[in-house]
Amino acid sequence: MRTYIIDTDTASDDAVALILALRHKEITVLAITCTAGNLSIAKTTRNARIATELAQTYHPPIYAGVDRPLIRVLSVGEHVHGKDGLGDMNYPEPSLQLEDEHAVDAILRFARTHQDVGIITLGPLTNVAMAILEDPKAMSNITEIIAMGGQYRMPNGCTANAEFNIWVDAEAAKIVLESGIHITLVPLDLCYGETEITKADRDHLKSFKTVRGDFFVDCNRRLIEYNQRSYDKDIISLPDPTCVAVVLEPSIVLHSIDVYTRIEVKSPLSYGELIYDFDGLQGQKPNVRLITEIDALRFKEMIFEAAK
Amino acid sequence: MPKYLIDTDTASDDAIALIMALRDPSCEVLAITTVFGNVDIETATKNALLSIEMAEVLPVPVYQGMDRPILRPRIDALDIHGQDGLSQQNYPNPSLKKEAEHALNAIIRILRQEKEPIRIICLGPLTNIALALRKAPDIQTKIQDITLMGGAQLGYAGYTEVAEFNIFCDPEAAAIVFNSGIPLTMIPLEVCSIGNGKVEAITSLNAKEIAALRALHTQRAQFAMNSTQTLYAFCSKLTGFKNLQLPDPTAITVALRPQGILSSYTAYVQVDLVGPLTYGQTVINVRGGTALDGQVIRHNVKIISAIDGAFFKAHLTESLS
Repeated sequence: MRTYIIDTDTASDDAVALILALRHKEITVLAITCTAGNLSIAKTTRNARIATELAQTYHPPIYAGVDRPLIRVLSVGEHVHGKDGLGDMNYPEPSLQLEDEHAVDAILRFARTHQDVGIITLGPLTNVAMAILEDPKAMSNITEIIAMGGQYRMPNGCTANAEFNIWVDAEAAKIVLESGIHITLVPLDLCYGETEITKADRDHLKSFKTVRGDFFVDCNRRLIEYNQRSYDKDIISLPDPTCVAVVLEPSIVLHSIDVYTRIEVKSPLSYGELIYDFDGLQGQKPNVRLITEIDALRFKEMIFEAAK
Repeated sequence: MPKYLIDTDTASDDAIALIMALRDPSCEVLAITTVFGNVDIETATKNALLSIEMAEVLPVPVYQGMDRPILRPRIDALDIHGQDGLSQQNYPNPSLKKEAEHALNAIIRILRQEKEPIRIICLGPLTNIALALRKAPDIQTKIQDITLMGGAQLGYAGYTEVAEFNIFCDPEAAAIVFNSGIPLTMIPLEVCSIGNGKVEAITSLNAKEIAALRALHTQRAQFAMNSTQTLYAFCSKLTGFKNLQLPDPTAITVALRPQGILSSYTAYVQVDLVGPLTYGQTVINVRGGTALDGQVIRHNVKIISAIDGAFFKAHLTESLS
């Protein structure tokens, strides 16, 4: 059984992604570690516990991690996911409790004691970068990092040329990119286009009349409004679920590029932009597998299955 | 009839572009100004004069301009176009001579003396236009628009991972032009050639199309195909299949025959001047309104995103026939 830690700044699409992962029989989620990003750490830890309960499967331990980026001031995405990050639906307090251990300590403990753990990151890379800084040797046991983050060819994901998760803490992303750990990047581009959850898809989810079917639509209420405002589209975009889907079913990937990838951290105009060396100008070995296309139909089926 | 100034760092594809513009009956070229870029300034000027002779039209004046970028060290593209910029075909020296006036002064003088605004086409680094605008801000109102071959969209590699050659030659000059408020039309490199997916772009010529142009048996067609041999080898090696990409001629089609434009969009484009990894990148913001940092976003550039390859090739063939 493949084993993963999921690091998340849990807002609405993270919540769907967590449920997708917890309900899948092919992987085990060893732990959920929370970071600041879409929301403050208080809100992301609350939402991770709500999502875990809604999955109605097992309950991996949930840890609170770093509450701000390494160097920059935290920018949150409440304008994207709502003040509570879950569509402002007033979901009740979860009964699941947080662990006492710090997320970075938990990541390092699992890295030391397990030989086959991968990390799925759904938010800024601050926790993972902290763990790498603290004990790179332990982190070299991590089999792979699969990160939702970065741009490919879609402009204005967050700034003109950077995507939110990477942009929030580009210095952390730089540490992870330079760590030597193999990284699979699932860029923001993948959740726009054929993977968009349309009105018809949402009606389909609602027709199940299940707690999760309703939750998938309702918790993304603010995200629908955001996409309407920003892109003039009546859709839910699900970046974090596309990332989890790539882990759960590797065959969902239709096209990917192995590429040496760096990150700009000095330029005000290009802070957080991932720099892909597609032409091999730097003569370096690829450190990233960039996913450029996934099977959208299968992705939606996975969402529907998890909602039932 | 619209009047044009063409600014060029004349190497192989510029030479074809000049022939296309000079032979187009719908276009009056008032002057050609040269700039460093693909080659050094003396070579660029010599190649521009040679191209006019090859076009076999009434000569237009050629003014030599800036030999260096504003701030950064000069680079060139001799590996792409050959040591002389024209694939070292041992062409004789042109009998036409350049004008004595500096291109900066010529641009300013011509714009001031024309009654109606002039269109400018830039095929190289933007140093001449940027410095002319600084020297004589009043000429801005005499420029109808600038069509420039340069820049790259997000996710496309150019000369660096993110910067295209013409802009990277002088990013500071490009920033002056992009911030000028003059209506700009930008033709990014990948639209003229090939994306990183190694898909044959519709605007590039394959071996068969090159042979068809040679079969025209005109001096112009032979000159065009001989001069681009080094470029042809470079494109073929880069992409893994035989093809010739012609960025500057593509820009001429966009400027002179906009029916060949398949799609375009407007955006706020800024040039990155400070990023260690992103220096010279055209940062393209497609949103309107206000940015995260509170800055108001004003769209300053029309970006061409697709060109009709068959239309372009017909234009090219007509020019070389």
